[in-house]
Amino acid sequence: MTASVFHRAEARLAALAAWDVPQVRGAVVTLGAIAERLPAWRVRLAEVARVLESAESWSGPAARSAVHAVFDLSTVATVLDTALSVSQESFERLAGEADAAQERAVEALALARSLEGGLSRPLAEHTELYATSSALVPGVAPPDSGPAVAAAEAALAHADAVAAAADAAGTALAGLGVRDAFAPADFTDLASRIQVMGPVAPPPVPSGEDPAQVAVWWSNLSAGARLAVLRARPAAVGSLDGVPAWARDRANRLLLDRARRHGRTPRATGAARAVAERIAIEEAAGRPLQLHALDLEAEEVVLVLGDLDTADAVGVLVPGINNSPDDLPRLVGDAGDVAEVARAAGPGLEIATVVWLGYASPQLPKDRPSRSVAVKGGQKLAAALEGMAAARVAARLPQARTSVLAHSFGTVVVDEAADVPGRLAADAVVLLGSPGMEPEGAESLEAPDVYDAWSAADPVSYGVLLGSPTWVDWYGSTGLPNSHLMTHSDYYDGDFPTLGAIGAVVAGARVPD
Amino acid sequence: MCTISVQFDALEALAGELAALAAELDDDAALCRSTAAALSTALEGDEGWTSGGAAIAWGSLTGVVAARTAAVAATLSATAVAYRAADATLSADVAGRRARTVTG
Repeated sequence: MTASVFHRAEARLAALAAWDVPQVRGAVVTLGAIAERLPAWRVRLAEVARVLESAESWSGPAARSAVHAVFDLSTVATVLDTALSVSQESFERLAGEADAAQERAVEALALARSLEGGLSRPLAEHTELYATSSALVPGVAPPDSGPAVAAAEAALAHADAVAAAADAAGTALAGLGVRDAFAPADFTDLASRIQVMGPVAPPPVPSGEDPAQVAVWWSNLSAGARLAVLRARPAAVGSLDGVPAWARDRANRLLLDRARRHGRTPRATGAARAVAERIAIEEAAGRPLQLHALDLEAEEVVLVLGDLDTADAVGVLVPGINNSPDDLPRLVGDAGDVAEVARAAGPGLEIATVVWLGYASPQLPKDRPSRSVAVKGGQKLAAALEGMAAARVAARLPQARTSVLAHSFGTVVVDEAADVPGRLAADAVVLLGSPGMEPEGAESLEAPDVYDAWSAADPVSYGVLLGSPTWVDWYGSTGLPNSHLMTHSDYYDGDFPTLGAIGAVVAGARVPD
Repeated sequence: MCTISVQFDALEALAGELAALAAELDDDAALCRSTAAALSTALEGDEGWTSGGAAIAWGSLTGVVAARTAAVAATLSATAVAYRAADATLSADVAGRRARTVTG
């Protein structure tokens, strides 16, 4: 061992002790903030791509070229986003290791002052001794070296980890053509490294069991990949909870169009006709809709009045028995009435209301409306609500206030949705004319606010057909204004006081008892 | 058949959004570069050089994407201006021909 090696070790420790670790931490926090902003940036870019691609504001050959240019940008930004995230993880590791390296280096240098002849010789001897003993007995524990040497060795090990993390932070960018800190000079060069030019292949679609995972998957796709997958797999994307409403709408309209031209069964063709007719009527009247889910064979359909992706407040109407696509005129009318009173209760709020016929509504006399029937619907409703929330999280958008408005057997479906593991993703639940809920009370619905409405003229709302009544004190819900003249189908009727109160709940303008 | 349609205001709004996105990303690219310098000085030696280099690459990459975004924004903006100018020229031309027809 030479004297220069000894000095290098001590000099190295002195250098570690002199690192400006707070500045390192500050720099890493800054890089983290930059990486954190990029996903939201990509969401905005994807929105530009979506609007351009729709050709609503600009069409023609030049417009198509612009679409491709923005798609390419989106693809590169998506890859960049992933690379920076991976690189950032290395930077965070670097900051932690730098902190530890400095702390142990300072400790080692302080302890070394009490050692005769300094730290370098015992450090070198210990290193050599351990190397020799390891060669003779692989895996042997290092001999005790004393606190100063131990601190010095720890400091040097942490410093090695800093160097490895710094390397890894750069290596994470290699896929983008970065070599030795030099990045591609222009976009064409950068894009060529990740082969973004040309048609986008549709990516595989996840199973959809976890809406949060689906939302993350979607947010990590480029604008071009999103359009490619919804065109290639509209049936999968259209029903995938966690995907934004605009994309589900695009996918489901493709399905609807195909079904109208090539319906497999009279039932599906009839359902397609009913859905298409309602959409056409509403949109012709200037009321935009989103087709959020569509299963024509099962006669299940979810229609949104407004924009589910951007609304401040959302009311999800869950109807009861004997509802099918043929009932959309009435169901959409109810949703429109709720939206109107919600806007009145919350001026300035963007409201969306949802006709959630996303379950097999029992058809009397063929089906018996039992709890077991509601279980499957409850699972679907829980996933749908979770998907709406997850899509906002992944897109870095603020959450909407979400109120579930359940009527009749729909209240049983909500009851079962709350039984699904995980918290029901709703801020309020309104139970209208419930045939009976589980006896655990309003708290079991997992929503902060639970309201109910019943009527003496509505025998179903006595609440004994399928469980316990909601109007008794012990149930724990807040009663909404009602009228003893309201029948089972009058809760959304503007002639009675319940509708206005529902609007206030949706807008968040009503305080529960 | 080739159909061309354009809503000037909507196109200009898209160009504006792209220009805003470009400016924001360009700011972040500049921030990456200053952060790279901070890392290099805070960690003396190879670690500072390597980590600073990685942060510089962050800045270069985001800068390239920002520049491209700005270029696309400028193209859209220029397109909207060109469409407006072409429409104004055609409008004046049609009006001129109509006036000549009426007076002639």
